[in-house]
Amino acid sequence: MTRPTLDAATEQLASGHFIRVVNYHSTPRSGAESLERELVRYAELFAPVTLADLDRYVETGTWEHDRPGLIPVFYEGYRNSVDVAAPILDRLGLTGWFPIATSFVDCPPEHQEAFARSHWIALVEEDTRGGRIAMDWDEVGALSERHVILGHTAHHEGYDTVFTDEDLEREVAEPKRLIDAAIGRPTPGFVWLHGSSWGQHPRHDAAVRDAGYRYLFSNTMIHRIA
Amino acid sequence: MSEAVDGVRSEEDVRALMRACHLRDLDREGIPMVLGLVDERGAIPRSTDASALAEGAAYRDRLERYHRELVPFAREGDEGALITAMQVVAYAHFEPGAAGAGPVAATPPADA
Repeated sequence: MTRPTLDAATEQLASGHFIRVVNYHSTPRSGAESLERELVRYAELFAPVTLADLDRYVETGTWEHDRPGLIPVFYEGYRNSVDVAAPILDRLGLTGWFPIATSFVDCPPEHQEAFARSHWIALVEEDTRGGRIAMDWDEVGALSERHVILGHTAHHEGYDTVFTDEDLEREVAEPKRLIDAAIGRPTPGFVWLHGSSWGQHPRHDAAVRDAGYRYLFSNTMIHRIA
Repeated sequence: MSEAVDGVRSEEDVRALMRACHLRDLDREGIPMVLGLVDERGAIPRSTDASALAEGAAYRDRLERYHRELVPFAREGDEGALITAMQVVAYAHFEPGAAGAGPVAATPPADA
């Protein structure tokens, strides 16, 4: 069990076991040009990272492409991840990784603003002009054809607000079943709110592993767990 | 690389990087991070790529320094403090080869 310590982080770096990630949240259409400018720069400097690439890197310890890998991560399940970010990624040949809060996707559109404001999902002005804010399940499925979908709990919860067996079923296991059904294959990974690492509590670790996830993404490291 | 050469001369320089990192318009740019990889099932083989090992060593030195200067209060396992130091490292030294160089913002300003 690897806790998020300075010693662990420095050992991973010195062993050549590290990868670059860029975290995004809402990507409004009004910011599309600056997002594209940023991603164009990244596409020049870095190689995309598919799930197979990550599996291979963890297996061998060596990144095998000529440029370092970059994982652009688009959190929460915003509709604008599909409408704005994904087309840019597709044009540039980058692989996006999309952790989605499944109850945000399931929420009726007329209540999505309130859902977001109730569950630490940040909104920008453009998100509040009416209409659907979250992606829908068909869009999740389509996105998965070229990108990677991850679980991000149902209600955008952290491990520190998930206590009971019922909580763990709702926030960890059920999101995996819903995503797997939408994308037609197992989603490989899970992310807690705030990017908490593996090893916070054995019960939470067991719930994530037993649900069938193979990776836990945190804000300090990516854990291969199964 | 000496502190005078790499352009980050003082603790105040590092704190200024931290402030700049946290004052960005995150609707317009992403949050870069350099994350470790770990296999909870067993050890990952050490990388055989000399350039990755060199870059990783430079990132290690950079993280140790920024952690020491920014969050000396941190207890072992203070995840928030570690993330703060890692964010500043990535913000200022994200591009390939930049770990041992002076600070360069990971991306151009939003209005560039």
